[in-house]
Amino acid sequence: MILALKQLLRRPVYFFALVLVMSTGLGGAVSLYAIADAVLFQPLRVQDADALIRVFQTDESRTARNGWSLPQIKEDLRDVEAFAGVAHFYDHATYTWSSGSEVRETLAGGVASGNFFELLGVKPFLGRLLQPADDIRGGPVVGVLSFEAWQSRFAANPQIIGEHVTLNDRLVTIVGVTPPGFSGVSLSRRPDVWLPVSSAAGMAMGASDESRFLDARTLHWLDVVARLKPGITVEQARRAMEAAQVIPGENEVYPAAALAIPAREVALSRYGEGDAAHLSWLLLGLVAVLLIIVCADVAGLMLVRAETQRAETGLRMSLGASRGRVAMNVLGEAFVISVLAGAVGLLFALAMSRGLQQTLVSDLVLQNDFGIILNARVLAAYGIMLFTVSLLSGIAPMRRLVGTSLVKVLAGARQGERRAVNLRELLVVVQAGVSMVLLTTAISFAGALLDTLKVDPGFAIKNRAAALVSTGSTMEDSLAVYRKVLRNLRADGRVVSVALAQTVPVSQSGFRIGGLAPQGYIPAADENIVIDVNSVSEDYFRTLGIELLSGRDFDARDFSEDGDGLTTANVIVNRAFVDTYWPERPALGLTIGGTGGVGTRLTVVGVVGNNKQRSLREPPLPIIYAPFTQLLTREMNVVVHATSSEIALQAIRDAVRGTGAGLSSGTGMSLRERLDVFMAPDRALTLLAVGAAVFATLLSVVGMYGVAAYAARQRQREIGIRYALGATRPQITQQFLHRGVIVAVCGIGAGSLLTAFASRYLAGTIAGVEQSDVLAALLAGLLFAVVALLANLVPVWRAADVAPMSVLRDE
Amino acid sequence: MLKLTNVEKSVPFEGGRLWLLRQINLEIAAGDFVSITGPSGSGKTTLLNILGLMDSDWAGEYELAGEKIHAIADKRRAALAREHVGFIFQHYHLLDDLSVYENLELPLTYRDIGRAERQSKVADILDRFGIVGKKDLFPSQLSGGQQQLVAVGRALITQPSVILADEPTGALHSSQGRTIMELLRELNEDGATIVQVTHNPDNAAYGRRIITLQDGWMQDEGAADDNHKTGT
Repeated sequence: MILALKQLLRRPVYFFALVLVMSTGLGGAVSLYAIADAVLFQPLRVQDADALIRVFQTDESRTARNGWSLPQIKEDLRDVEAFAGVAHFYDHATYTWSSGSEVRETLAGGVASGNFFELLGVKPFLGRLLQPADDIRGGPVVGVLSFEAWQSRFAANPQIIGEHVTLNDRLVTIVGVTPPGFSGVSLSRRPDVWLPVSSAAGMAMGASDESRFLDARTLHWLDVVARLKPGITVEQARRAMEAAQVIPGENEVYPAAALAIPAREVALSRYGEGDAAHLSWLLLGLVAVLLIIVCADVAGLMLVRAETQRAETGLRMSLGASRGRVAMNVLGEAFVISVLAGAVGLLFALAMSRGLQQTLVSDLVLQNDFGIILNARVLAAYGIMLFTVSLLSGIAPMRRLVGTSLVKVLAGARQGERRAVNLRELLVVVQAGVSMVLLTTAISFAGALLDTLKVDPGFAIKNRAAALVSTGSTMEDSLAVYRKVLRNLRADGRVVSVALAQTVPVSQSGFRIGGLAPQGYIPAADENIVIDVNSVSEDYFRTLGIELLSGRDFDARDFSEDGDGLTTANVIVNRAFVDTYWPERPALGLTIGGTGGVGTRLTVVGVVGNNKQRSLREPPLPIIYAPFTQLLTREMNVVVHATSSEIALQAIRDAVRGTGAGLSSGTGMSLRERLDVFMAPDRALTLLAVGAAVFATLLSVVGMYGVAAYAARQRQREIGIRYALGATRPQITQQFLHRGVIVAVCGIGAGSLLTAFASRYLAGTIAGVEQSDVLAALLAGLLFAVVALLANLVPVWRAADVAPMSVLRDE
Repeated sequence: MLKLTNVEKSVPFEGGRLWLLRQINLEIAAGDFVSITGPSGSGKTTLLNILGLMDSDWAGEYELAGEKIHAIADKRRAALAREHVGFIFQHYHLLDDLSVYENLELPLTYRDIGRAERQSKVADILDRFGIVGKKDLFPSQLSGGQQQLVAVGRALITQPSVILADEPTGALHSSQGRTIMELLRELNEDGATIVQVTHNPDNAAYGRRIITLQDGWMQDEGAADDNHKTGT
């Protein structure tokens, strides 16, 4: 060890380069791995997540994942042999919280069965969680706060236990706080407060008639999670459900069977907009790429060093050193480098994972407590990475040295013959190849993002703001609340115009209706017409600056007090709708019917221009705008055009005050901010791709530079000979560069092939990224060629600055 | 052909200067064969490097083929070296991963000579030195004598007017050494100007003139004995 350290310290540049490459590469790799680990391997903060399954009702295609009614759960699922326990929940509720201020706040809400937390194996952070004793129909409502809501909304007040809060105008007694990071078995929703199903089903569903949701066998609103008995597989659970005849009864909607899917799988596949599982696989791919580059870098540097050590090794062997001893010597050096690089890399990983947590996780995952920490599993992975890199990069140099021919070395013989490709060059090709993949990806992502940012959304953004207003009460009262809010805003002198909308563009969420039949349009045999529907108030188009092309806007006569679920109504369609279904007919007065004999009859009274609805990169989508009273919900967006977006937001807050409506926290923002938030995952992914590409390219450059510099220095004798034979410095540089350029070009070629392969998995990762982005590949190739040229040119040019007589004389 | 006037060379040493060559005055005519001898450290190779234009850090005057080397730019010096000088080294200095053919061709590639002409010149040298059968071998596959033969061929291939040889037989055993020296004599008889550095009195005797250096100073010049004339 000491000897190895001394030997390394005699070559400080080589030593420093190796430690730098290994530590930064490994540190970067393990930071990325830590995120993937957090998302992929421990997404659910529950006990023994592997034994949890989600159970759904499905249709004949077996693709639908639908919920259950309470009677079904009690009668059909509780008796399945394979289950150690079954719990049910609903985590998409919204509660308005009368916190004492004039404007009510909105809390993300959930209801769960009394055994829910016990089944998941979750312990309370404070107080107690829901328990079977809370399953009392019509009993007092108790509530469990999430740790995060307790901190952010209740100032982490430890005296909160036993306190009463008013949710949806009902008193709820807070009995406990969940542990940090707990989000149930879903990753996309994290209720701020959990209430018992038995006493709060009506609150969750916004219905005054709570008994319907507890008794009706056909209302499939509850999600089910089950814990498998020890040793039972998911497949066995499926068979057990079949044996228990878990199938719907007579006159029920679903004719098919039940699905059992591991809870982790469901959580990941349903994970929010950023699609964390996909991201995690991308991150693991990046980890692999970084490790390959580090291996190639380190092996390349060590190989060059091994070449210079051959004479010394030959001498040692001639003096009696065994091959084993030579191998130990090499391994000793590798060990010292690994230990140092490992320690430095860990510090680097700590710093980098903090940075990644802030940039990536908050933007991509939209929840900032994924707990990217260097836990035991991550540290074990780091150890494996370190060992693998050390071993893989040390094998070739060790073989080179141990295989030293004593006779040849002591006779001064150098390479006996020319090799078409040597291992060092092959390693550079590998580095260049994988770096190219990252560069191409980064350029492709950045190009797509820039294109997206240039897209005209088709609606006005300036001085506009929107906020989600929750009525929190029953549907029956909602309309009055919305009208009150609208009235207040219209009376506000700062407001230019105001409207309500179910969906504010641009948003992935939204309402679609299938089975529609535009009048006179003959669909293809297998065409099921599914169209985006946005329910809006009058002035929606004026507020968003969407052009009215023909007909009229909605007015008072379109908004009946008793919405009928969009069966007969006046509607407005956009130009894309007309272009798709009535390209050669005037749309005004035409109707849209239903296909299944349902008495749908929507009459078109206006046509408006297109706007981006679900994403900025979509082609114009047909949209039907319906009067909001037809599809009334307990949450609507209020969109305001004012003299500035800040004033617009303030006007909304002022208008909501005293109406009984709540404002969902985090949703009130200017349309510019909404677009920024919408673009955040793409921006973060692009940032990640660019960062990784720059990082990998820098590592490659350091490797290429190191190898080229070391190799050029070892060939100084050759440089001297060439000078003596009449070569000029440019000729020598060109000669040496020639090989480096060929190697880089091979790397770029290999990279192009790899990119073509990888692009299949990257297409669509962010909006606008296509499978074959030839321009990005060309740009990446060019960029890498320039970088590779410089990485080779500088050391060769410097090495060529040598007096021939000095190197030849040294011989 | 070559004329040195008061040429001196020194390097910094312990705050002062260490003199490697002092007041060298030497004239070598075209077709001459000069041996430079002297003990180790006497400045032989330093002088040869200056003659071969591989060293430009010296004082004095030097004329080569009518050009004042001391007064011209480095680029022109390099061009003159390419035009007039061929080098033969003690350790052959063949490039290990080039074949015999490629080693011979190397100097031609630095002189903008077309491929066809290069092939023809390399073929001539291979034929002349009887190493046609070895053209595809690598240096490590040749004996020392054969390697030096290739090195001599490489020095000649550009048809230089001056051949500078630094201990050309230093790494060879005596019979191989004799072969090389005979070859140099033949070249000289064919008109080439040869300057060799050697420790070996027998080899020095191949020169028409023998110059002895001592601590950087040129000693009295002596004529070669009859050995040169008889070839024994």
